[in-house]
Amino acid sequence: MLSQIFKKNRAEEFPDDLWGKYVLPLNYAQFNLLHETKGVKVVGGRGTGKTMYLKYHAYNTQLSKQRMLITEDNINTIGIYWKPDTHFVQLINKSYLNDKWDAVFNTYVALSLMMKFLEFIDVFLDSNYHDEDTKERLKNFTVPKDFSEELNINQEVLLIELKERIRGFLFKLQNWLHNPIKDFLFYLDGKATIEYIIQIWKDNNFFKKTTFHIFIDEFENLREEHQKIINTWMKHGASPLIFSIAYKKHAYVSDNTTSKEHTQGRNDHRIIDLVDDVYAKTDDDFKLLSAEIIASKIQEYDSQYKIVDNDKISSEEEVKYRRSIEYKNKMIEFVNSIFPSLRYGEIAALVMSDKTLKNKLIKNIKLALKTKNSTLKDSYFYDDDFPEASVVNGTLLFRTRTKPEELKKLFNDYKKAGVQSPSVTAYKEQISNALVGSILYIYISFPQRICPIYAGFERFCLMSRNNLRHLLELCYQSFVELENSNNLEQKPIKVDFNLQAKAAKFCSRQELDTISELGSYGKDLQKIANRLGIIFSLKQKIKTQSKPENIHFSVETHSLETIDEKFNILLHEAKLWNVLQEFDGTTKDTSDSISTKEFMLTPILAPYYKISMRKIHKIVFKPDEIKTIFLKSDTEFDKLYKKFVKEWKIENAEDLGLFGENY
Amino acid sequence: MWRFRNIKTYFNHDEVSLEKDTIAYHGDFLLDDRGKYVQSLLNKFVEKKIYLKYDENDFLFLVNENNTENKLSKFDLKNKLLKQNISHSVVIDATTLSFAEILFLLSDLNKIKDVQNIHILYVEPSEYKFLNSSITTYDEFALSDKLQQFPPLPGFTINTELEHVELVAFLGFEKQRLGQIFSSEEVIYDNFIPIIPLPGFSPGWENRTINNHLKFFDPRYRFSNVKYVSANNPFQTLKILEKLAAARKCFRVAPIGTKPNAIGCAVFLVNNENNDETNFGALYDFPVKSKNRSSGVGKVHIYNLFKID
Repeated sequence: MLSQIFKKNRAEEFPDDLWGKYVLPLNYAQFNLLHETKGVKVVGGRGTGKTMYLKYHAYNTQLSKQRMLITEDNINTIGIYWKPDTHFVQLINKSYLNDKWDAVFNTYVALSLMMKFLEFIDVFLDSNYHDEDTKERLKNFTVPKDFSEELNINQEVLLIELKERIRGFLFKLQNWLHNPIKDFLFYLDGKATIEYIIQIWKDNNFFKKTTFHIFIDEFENLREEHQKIINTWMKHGASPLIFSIAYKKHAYVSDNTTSKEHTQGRNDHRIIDLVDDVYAKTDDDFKLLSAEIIASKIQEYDSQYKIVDNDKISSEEEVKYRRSIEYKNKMIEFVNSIFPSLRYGEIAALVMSDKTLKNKLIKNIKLALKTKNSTLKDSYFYDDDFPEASVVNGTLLFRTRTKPEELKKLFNDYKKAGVQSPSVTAYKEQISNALVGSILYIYISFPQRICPIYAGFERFCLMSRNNLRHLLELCYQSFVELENSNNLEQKPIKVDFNLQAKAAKFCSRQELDTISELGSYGKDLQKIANRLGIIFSLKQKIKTQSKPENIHFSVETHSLETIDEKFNILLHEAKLWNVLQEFDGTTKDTSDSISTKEFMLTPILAPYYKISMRKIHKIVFKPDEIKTIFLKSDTEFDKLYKKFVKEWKIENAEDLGLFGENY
Repeated sequence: MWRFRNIKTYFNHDEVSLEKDTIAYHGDFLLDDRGKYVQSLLNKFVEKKIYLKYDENDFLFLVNENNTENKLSKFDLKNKLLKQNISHSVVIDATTLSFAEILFLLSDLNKIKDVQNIHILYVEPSEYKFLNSSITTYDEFALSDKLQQFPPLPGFTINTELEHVELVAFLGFEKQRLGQIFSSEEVIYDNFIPIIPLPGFSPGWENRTINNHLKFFDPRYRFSNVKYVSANNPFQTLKILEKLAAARKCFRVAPIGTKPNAIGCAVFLVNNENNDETNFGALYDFPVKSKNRSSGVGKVHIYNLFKID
């Protein structure tokens, strides 16, 4: 089934060898971890592909069996990916082990990394590395006595047999930690042990020119005292042994090292932000990357498609080829054909051709005319041949400044192709500004309808906003819908926009549901997301659609820190788990001149709340209002909600239940 | 090794009685109605009451005896507290203690020769707190204010870097507790075995559990099969774990459902504590329990355990 290929969307579900599966970002040259000569810090939010990125740089992919020829140049740097068991490692701490904790942590890391280094040897021996003689020597290489004695091994042991021994010691260490009263068998230094192994190899003419670069994932889940030790190794890392770390963006991690007098400067290490620097420096970068990922997966399902070359997507040498305009266009075009979308104008036309939706528009126009005591006929304001203007007229008429007579004339001028005047130009601009809001305004009255603005590859990109996992989930659910509609046999593959929109709504609801599971304050985050969604949705019901399309907000304060301690904890958690995305204040909404930060609700929630996923106009909350949204009881929030209903003159707000499946 | 001798269940609260000359370990009485009931019960029958609270961050116990507070290292629990009190018959109040305290008490009492027999008390509520503001369609329950990121339990923490690990989770109402295990993105379990409390404390309660966890019963979470165990039967819990352990050597148990299921898990883990052949760990999230999380007092259970070699 096609859907099954898209179902896997977590790095942990993929094999360690990602050759041919990992699509290299186009600007990869600057972000090849294997070219780094010092440790780096890799940051990325949940679902942004952090683990995949690291694993691409590790030996399983480097020495992939699918790479037919591996030369010495290919092993100038060997990446070692290590994800500690962060649940287990929490046990190694001062409260539990007293002063021994440090030695125990070092021993744990030394043993775990040794396992990784010895796994590397296995993979190396199995790989297509050109020099069989080296492999043969390595197979028969005996661990020097000095080293095996460190490990309490008193007999000769081959390097390739050492892994099982080390695994045994790790077991012993685990069990010793159950009752750590006496001393452990031996203690090792984390960094020095690995350096020792590397030295032994080099002394024996193995990996003479190789630098080993260790990537430690989930750094934020280590204890602070562990982080300091690793920071120290990182600071002093140099060829042939470098340490790098990866953690969730916004996570609190220690910058300190173990030596008290030298605090590690933030700038000591390069920080690579996976989203902002690598995957989505521009929206176009993210779009192309997404298109290639989708195309390569579809090819995995049906090899008749020859869109991407799986040998090329993981290869640094081929990035140049993928940078050509023709290639880009071909990709985007292909994925657009799988997930076609309707342009906003086409959606307006759909409104005009759908009896129910059109009636709603006419009803709105009539109501607006009545409010303005105008005797003009409603039919002056809509015309099936001019759907965009018609749909927007339905909201413009409600605006205080709009005079029905003038709008009627404008609409007529607009319809006559030749008429060019400043007012027609301004009218056209109004149409383009209010179109999406006006479309949503009509759809929001019909709980059963899902607006087609949520369908289409490029809209999927907008909704997933640099989150690859969300993108793949949207594709997955779309294919599930396709399969359920029994249209799978249809070639070429194409998912109808209605099915896509249905899938988007499903993903949206699913993500809202998942928020409650994120971190210690998941339920609070879900409540906050829901309340914001409800408010944006309420705003979407404003008849005038002035400043439409709200999915982000700011707070009218110079300093968010002063609002409330719990508020700041929750705001931080919301950023950490990507429920809110933070931006520097750029939106030119004049009502707010003092706040410096803006926060966007994760746009995957847009279909659930029937709001726009585009960051266009923001709502500026007062500190008290945001406090209510984040912290107060449902009763208090209900009061706030009613206040907005009044302020925004929403008449049909009672249609909304505050809770439950009314969105 | 602990074995169950019998389980007594009382429908009439007046009939409940405990042995004389008993020492009881308990937690916070004031959380809900049944806590207060336990307090009155212990006041009536018990010689000596000792309050215990395990601090998962500092690996120590807060002990309160006759209003005297004391801190004890995890390693000192056996010698400095339990051994001092072996002349008494022992009652562990599982209503107010959490999984962690029950686990460590069972583990350390298991190592004290003179203790051969213990009683575990558990009082069911008549209803759990229902959170009205259900955002998604199904019922949400407000039983915990905050969840911790599964701090390790000394003696019962296994390293998943060593081998493939399966997850056995005893489910309750709060889906977040399971969801957190999966969303923390650390370990992908080789197999996920959810265990539903059926029959539940009250008819129909199992549906709450199933509804709230339905999305996890999917191959994406390496789900293969649901198993059932009576909500208030730790003996059955132990049996089901022993059966699972016969076929697999390495799994983590997450007692994130009913307390009687958690008791069964604790007995299983303690019985396998020093087994070199197997590798079983626990995952527990130390929920900060909401005040008045349940209401009313339901059935009362007394589980009697004895030791075999």
